[in-house]
Amino acid sequence: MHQLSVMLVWTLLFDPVAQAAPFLPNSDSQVLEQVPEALDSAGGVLRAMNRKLADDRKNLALALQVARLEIGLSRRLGDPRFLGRAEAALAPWPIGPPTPADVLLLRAVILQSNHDFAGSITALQRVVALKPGSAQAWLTLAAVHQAQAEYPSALHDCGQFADRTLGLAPDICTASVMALTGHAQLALRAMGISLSQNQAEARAQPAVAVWAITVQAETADRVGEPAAERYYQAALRLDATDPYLLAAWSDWLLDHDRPRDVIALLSGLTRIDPLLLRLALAERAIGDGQAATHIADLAARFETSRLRGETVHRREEARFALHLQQQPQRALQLAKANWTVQREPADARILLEAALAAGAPRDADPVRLWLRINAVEAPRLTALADGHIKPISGGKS
Amino acid sequence: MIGSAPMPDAARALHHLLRLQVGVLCLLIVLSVPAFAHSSSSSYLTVVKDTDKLSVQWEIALRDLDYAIGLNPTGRITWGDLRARAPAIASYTLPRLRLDAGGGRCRPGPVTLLADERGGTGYAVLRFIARCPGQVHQVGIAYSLMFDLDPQHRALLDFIAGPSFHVAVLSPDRPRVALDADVGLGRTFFDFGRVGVDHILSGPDHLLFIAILLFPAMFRRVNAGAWLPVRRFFPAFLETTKILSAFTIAHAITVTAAVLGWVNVPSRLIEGAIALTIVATALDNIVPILPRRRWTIAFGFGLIHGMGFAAALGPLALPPLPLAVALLSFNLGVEAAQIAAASIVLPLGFALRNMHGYSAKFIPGASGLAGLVAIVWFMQRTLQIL
Repeated sequence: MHQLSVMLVWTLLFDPVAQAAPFLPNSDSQVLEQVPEALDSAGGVLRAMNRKLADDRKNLALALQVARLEIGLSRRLGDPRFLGRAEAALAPWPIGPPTPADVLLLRAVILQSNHDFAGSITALQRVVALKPGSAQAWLTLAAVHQAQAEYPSALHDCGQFADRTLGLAPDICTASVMALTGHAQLALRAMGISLSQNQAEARAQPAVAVWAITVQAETADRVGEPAAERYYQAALRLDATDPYLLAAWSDWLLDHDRPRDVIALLSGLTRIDPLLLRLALAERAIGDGQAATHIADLAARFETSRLRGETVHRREEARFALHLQQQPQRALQLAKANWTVQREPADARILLEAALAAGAPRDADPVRLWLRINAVEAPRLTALADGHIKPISGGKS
Repeated sequence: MIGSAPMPDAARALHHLLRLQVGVLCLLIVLSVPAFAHSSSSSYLTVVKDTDKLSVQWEIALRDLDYAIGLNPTGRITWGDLRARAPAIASYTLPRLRLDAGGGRCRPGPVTLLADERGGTGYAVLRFIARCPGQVHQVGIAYSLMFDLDPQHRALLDFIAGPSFHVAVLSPDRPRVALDADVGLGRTFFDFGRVGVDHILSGPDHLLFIAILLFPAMFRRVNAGAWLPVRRFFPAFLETTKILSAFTIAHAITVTAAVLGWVNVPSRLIEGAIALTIVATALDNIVPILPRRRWTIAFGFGLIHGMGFAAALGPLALPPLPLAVALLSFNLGVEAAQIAAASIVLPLGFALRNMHGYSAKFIPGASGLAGLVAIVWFMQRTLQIL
């Protein structure tokens, strides 16, 4: 009888004939889209530069400028379209032996953003061979190695980075690796000291400062220090729009049962997939009516990405499947596939949660190994791994 | 090709920015999470094969069109902007999609412009019919939109030839596909048979109709509408066969008539009428209102359901022989699915026929429930409420 009533509700809700489709808007004034870069100062600049570049495709200096700005815009707005446009600017210099080092570097950054970590490392190794002074190349290498949990390599890269430039950025590079390899307290202290000693650099390069404080906040949160909240708020005072920071802060809020704050923070930022995911989790937590729409939007985006053959957002999709679609088996498959590519604390967490929810805790053994051999200090992850606590629904991934 | 009007302000800002960057080590801060957002640029292309033409629906992100040809300098794109730029949109996009079939290039006709929203992003929808020089057997599609401006752009292609369905992703590395639009007779038979089976098994309305039609199959109706259980299975089985065959013959007639274009009733009316047939049959299970002989009901209502099946098949642009095969196998598929449904309902009904309350409570109760659901469907379909 229960099955019958479920079927009845299902048939009532989903009339087989009803379907969404293209539509004819009601009036000429109906707004169909807001182009985000039109609201960003770099958007107008890029338009002008791209027009110049269209007439002068071989202008290397201009192409590099455009690509750099596009990559920066993609990070600021959380939008991969600008990565594609950066690639377009660099198109006359495909990856090959005569590629200039600066082009290779930007191509490596784009490859990394598309999760082609192997391709990115190959290109970066050629950059450092061609142009040993490239600090950016070492920083990017460190990030890729860290994302893959290759901590000794990442430390080496940070050291090379520090040999080429001094100050806050190399300190944070090293501290972020130390924070994952059994030296979290030391890393927190080092970051605090470096931030107070490099205030001029922090003011001149707010992006570096935001990055530094975000790493500080994430580390503090991971080891269970209440100072995390204070760090997040300090970072937000510097830049309240950084998508990565907003996602990390939203996760902290979700973990501390503050979904309403997440909704207030993110309701205007539905364009950015990872932020839409956090928003939907928060809406689901308080039973907000918008949740259904946002879950449908996310499902459509993941489906498009699947059709495109992309594997970029398996971490987010696993979390979506587990917490918003109640499909632990699918979440586990996604989280396992994700772990073969990315091995960060958030990847560890979703794999542990999915494995427990799917009733296959042994499937998270790679995470247990990662925790043990690196001496990762993360009490909540360890408790999940040891089966001491139930997975936290709506949690961070 | 980028932007629409010169922007002196932007040029000034550019010089300012270039000056700023000189001498400053501009790190691209790479946070521990590399790619952070993931909605890259995609277009959705649907191509439906017809005898000597292709029906095309092409959905292109408004952001991409704005980047390529400029729709509104403020970035706030309205339906008015889209309509005003319709000729420019057509002349920019159409040359970047080449369709070849029937021995040459298929020429796009007039474009109908619509809007759509996918996953929270605005899209322009271009619909047109491309006429080909001859009969369509092989279709070649060559795509180049946006590839020069964004190599991450992809076209997600659905190619539909009758019941067969082909999906492809077009990219700068693979901008062309060749598709076989010709389907063998055996394949046609199999595919349309499957469409018939799927249509019954995936459509709750037909299943519901068959179920309530067969609920009382193990009973005889006596005066005042009460039900008496039958003694033997076989006569009841024969009676059911008669009912289902009448239903099948009736819907085969109207499916054929509708597919060949002899009758044409708006699908909303048909869907509403199908819901009404369920209401009437359900009501009849409670209070007799329809003719006593069930096969006549099945035949009459089958005519209506058949027109609904025709909508599932869609307009079939097939030569005579494949068309006949398609219609036959579709109806056989429908029949097979019905028999499958009956072979579950019938033995159950026979086993339960003497159970206390089955005829007095279960049949009216379940029929009433089904009737209510059908009333809701009826209102949704005809009045567009709820």
